[in-house]
Amino acid sequence: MEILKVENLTKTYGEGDVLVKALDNVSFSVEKGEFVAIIGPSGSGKSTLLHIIGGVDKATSGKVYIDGTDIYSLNETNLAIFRRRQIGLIYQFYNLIPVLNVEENITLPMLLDGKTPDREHLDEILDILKLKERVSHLPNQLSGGQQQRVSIGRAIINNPAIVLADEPTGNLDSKNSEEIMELLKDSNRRNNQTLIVITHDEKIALQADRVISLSDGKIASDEVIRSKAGREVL
Amino acid sequence: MNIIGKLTLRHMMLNKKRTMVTVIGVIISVAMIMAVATIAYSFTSYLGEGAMEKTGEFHVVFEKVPYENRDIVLEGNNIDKSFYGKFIGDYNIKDIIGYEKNEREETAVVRVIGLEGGCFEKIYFGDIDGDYPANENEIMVSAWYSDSLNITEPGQKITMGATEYTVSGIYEAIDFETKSIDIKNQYTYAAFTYCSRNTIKDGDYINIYSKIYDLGNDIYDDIEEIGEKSGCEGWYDNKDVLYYYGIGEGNFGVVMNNIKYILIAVIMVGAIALIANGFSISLSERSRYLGMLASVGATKTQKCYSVFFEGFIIGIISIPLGILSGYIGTVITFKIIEDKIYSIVGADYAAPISVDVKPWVIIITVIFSVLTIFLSAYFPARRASKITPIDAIRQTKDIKITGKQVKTRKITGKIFGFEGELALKNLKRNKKKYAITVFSLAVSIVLFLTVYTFVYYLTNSAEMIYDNVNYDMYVDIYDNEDGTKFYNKIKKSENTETVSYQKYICQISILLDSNDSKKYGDSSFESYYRDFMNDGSELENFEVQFYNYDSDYIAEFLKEQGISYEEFQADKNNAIILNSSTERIYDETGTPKIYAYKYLNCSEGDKLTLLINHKDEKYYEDYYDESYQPDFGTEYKDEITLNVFGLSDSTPIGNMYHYSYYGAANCIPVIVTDELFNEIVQNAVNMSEDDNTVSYFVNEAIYFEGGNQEKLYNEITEINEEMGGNFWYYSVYQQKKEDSDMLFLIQVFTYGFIVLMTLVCAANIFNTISTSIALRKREFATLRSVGMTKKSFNKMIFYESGFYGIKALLYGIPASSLIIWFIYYNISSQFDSGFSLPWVGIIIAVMSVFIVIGSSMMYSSSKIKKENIIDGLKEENI
Repeated sequence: MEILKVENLTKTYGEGDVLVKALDNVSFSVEKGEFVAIIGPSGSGKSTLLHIIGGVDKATSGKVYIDGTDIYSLNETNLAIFRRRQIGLIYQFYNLIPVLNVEENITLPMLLDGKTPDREHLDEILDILKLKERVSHLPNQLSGGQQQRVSIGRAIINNPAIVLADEPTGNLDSKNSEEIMELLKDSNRRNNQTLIVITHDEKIALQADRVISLSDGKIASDEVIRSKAGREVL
Repeated sequence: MNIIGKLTLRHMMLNKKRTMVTVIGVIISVAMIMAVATIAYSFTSYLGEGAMEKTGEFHVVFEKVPYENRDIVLEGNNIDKSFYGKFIGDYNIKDIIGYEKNEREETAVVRVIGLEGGCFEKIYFGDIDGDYPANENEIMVSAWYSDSLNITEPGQKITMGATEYTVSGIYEAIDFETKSIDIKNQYTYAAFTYCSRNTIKDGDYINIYSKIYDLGNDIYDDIEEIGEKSGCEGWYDNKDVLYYYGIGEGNFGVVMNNIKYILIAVIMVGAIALIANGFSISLSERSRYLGMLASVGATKTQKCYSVFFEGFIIGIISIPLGILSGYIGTVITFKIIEDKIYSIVGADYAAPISVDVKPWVIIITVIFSVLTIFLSAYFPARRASKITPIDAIRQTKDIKITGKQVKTRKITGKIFGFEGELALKNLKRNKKKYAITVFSLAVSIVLFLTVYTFVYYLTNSAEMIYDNVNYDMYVDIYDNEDGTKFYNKIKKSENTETVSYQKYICQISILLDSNDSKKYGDSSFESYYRDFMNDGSELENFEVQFYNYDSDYIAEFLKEQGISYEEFQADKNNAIILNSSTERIYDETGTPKIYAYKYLNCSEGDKLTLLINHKDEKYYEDYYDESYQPDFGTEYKDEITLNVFGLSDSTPIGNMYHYSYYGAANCIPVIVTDELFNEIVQNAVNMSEDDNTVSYFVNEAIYFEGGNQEKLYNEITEINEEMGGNFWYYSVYQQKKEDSDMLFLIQVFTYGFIVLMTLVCAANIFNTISTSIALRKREFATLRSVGMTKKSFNKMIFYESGFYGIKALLYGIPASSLIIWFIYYNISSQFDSGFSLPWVGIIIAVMSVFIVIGSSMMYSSSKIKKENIIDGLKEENI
């Protein structure tokens, strides 16, 4: 099943002589449950692409469908609600809210929805993220790896259609990086969650089902390393 | 300029808006300090100069200084200009007139002083009957003691010592003839003759009148020293003048100075809160590059310097502009209020008040302003000096939060939703900033409400004085014949709409028969009476007060009530009952209650029996004995029956006395016919001739209402002068105008102060809120990226503003209530009004608080809302 479809995305900055094309007519689609890595040199447009898919930035032209919804046809409020329910975003610098503790940061999308988080579900996530002992800590009382685990929790709490991660391990040491990637893959496998990760790290890219490489705002290559079905066999 | 200075300057330029807000706040503060210092000084010197006009151009007088020692005084420390006169001699009154006139003056002496021509103008003599002495054989004495010398008019001769003087004039001033009592411990009166300065030689004595340069409390040290060295007999100070400078007795100047320093302190607190906050905001923004500078070797002093440099720049811009605008503001304010000041205090002064700026006023302003900025920079600078490279990299200084600190109660979330909870946590994360904002808001609320209430009480009690005053001016009449003359001259005046000549009889008690009192007493009066007496005593009898008016006025008045004047006068026993009145009574808590009541429940044609007692000796003897209750039963001799010809709910113009002589409020005003009125007066006259225990009198006054009161006043003054100047007249209109002018002045100053203070506070709040929002850009972007809608966002901002406001009001309103109560408690004896909270003021305060916070929040968040989420996410935390 196709969960994400990107059609002719173009994003430009500036105009005339200083016109910069961050994305140039990019199209692809992603199946539900797929783990896609996006690689490319700095300035190739990776982050821009991710932000546009995540509904936080707008393309100059082109369309993004998530689970069949043209997300940019939604008005601002509906897009915000869509984001909180269907998209999980993970950043390199975690972007946690400093005044909220671990539990509150994780459940933030639900709290914004006015929902009370399901205790069992939350415990399960805390368990997986190994944050059980730290539920009432504030972000500045956590290590980098812990903070990133919180932001993963926040991304997956609502069981979104798609999880987007922008260099999630870029700021972490190798041990923490491994842990984080394990968590993401685990969530991807366990819940058949679609995962798109931007990375510089070849080791991480090689763990993905499919690697899309961007260069100068265009897709340079799009390789399937292993099929979903195949992976399940492995 | 070194690199740190450059960086600081660039940073300030980059944050133009905040720098501007801080600069404007500082300008306002400096301007206020300047204005307070200028106004205080101008008032002091205005009143001081005014007092000098009424006494003389000197602050101190040295008596009987040996002439050869004159320079010790004239060149003495802190002595400004002086003039002097020759001491001619002291003469006993007994010796002058040749016999002992009375005991008091047994030892009294007249001290004769010879002044040169121009010097007479430098001493205030008041009105002079006659002239200044023109030569050595003329003398001017004071009306104060001229009787003792048997002098009644200029031209009389008087011998003192070897000289026979001709009295050239009798002066009015009574102020300093007795000043030398302190010196010789006996009455010493001053008399003045002419004496050319050239004739004074060594061996003579002189009186030196000196002004002093620096008027401070230490002047007495200098004076004492000069006095001792010069070998003078003694000295005395010009207390009336020094009073205004806060020197010596009396506390006007001290109060003035205290007010000045209290106001400056309040301004400084507000200003320091603003500037310090501005500095610490800009410091936290700069901490990154300060850290970087530290990593490449910037010293503590250099980092400190960065903050002080910012203070220096702000001071360089703000202080001159502040002084200038403070000066201009004061000039404009004085222009507006000049007339009002003149009408209140200036009537005796020649010159209108003007803005008087001495260099030291500016110096004081600069000192206080620099001090303010320095104090504001001190703590941020110390923080700056402690910034390390690691802090710059980690950026942890500003986000050190503990879980406990941002803990909110479950109920908050339940009531206000998640947005409310988040809002409260946001406020709690930076306790200091939160506290500063709440504190400055609360201080503004307290200031405003206190001043509002003060003015409210003033206005209220000013109005209350005029309860039941239905005329604009009156002239007291002591003599019926003169009064009638006066009345005839003024009754046709174009400057008034209504004139009435009112008479009533005093000290004859007229009582309504107790049966009639019971029969006709109105229930509305009874309840009023009970509350008025407040001691459980019940009404037994009504007293009655007879009024009589001139025919023109009363005919018109009766016509308005539908009563025929001619028919009323036709029967001697006809009477008009002025049956309605309104009074204000205060209960124990001071709450006023307005009573509108009627005395009698009777109708036209009813007969009232009155008992008249012309002489109740005990009654008058014990008039002042509060416990005395007159026993009317047996003493009443005459009895008359009044015929109720009409009942009037309106009252003629003029004072009405609703109280009996022993203070009960049971006195019914009744208009009687001319015939009856005159008969009763005639009876009293006859009886007083028989027996002088009868001390009746008829109170007469002419009342005026409407028209051109100012012209009327002048007209009355003219008639009074024409007729010998014995009438006493009083303009309620003028007094009301003076009162309202005074109120206006108080309002201009107090509200001006509050508005400016609030502006400084608002600038501070604006800086705090807008920065705290700007610092959270990235957080807001994150919130939006995880799906916070605009509505939620607005809600959160709304709650943040709301919590600020509520907290500030929660502290501000109780604190002001306490202060208001305290003020009330202290001045309630002067303010005849009950204690109540100023609700209108509170509503204004609440609204203003939310407007200031709300607009700051809205302004800062609107910028963030417009911003792209991505840009927000990229934003470095600082």
